[in-house]
Amino acid sequence: MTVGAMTIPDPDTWVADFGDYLYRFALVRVRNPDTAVDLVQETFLAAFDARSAYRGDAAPKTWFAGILNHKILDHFRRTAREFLLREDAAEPLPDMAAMPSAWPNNPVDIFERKEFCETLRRCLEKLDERSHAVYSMREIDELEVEQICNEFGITTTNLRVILHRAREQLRRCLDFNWFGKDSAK
Amino acid sequence: MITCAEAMKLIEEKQDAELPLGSRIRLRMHLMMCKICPNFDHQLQQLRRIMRTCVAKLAESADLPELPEAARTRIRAAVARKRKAASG
Repeated sequence: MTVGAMTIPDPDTWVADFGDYLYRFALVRVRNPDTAVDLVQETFLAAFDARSAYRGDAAPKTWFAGILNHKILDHFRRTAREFLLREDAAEPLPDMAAMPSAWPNNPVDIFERKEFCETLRRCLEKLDERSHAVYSMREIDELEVEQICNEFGITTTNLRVILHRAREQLRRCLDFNWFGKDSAK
Repeated sequence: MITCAEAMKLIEEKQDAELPLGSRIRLRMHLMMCKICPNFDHQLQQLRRIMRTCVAKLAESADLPELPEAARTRIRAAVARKRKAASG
């Protein structure tokens, strides 16, 4: 039964029609190919169970992506639980030593170019596992600071340090690899 | 008047939580008079925007690997099993 204009396609076609898209989506988010495969499988299985709930108001692809996003967040939560058991001394917030360079006032298009996104993706891959999980949950999943702190069992101060370092790393990586600037440090 | 170091700390904090009114005002005043800190503010906001745009864009990119054949087979089988279990 559908309310909107679109119906869920036959599950036999899902892997063929949506497998690559969801796999790539997951790969960008979680970086590890095996994890990405697992999440795609979980997504299709969950979608099968939930297919009667599909309202037809969003395209099937968007619907699948929504389920995948949930699975990705679950994955990061599992990652957080693993880190919960590790001890980490609270680090003070480092000084912002380097003055930020101005990024050129590029037209919006530059960020539409896939080469740029590829560069960004490679920069993202350089983050260590915890920083990446924290950064992802904040920037992409848009979890509140408190929620992330609870998941990881860290203080707000810890979180700020992790986010600060991740952002610094990404900014410098982009500065160096895309905008062609040498890092001051 | 706050320093650039203090301002940059606030700029970063406001990415993640609303600043208290006093800090907001102090930051706004600093940004009006500083040439450097507005760049930092801009960059952080840019970074957030492009992160989200790129994540969506990359998923559509044929440059990323396809779902591996072995995985396709395995996942198809899992969905088929579920389907069978549901109808049986």
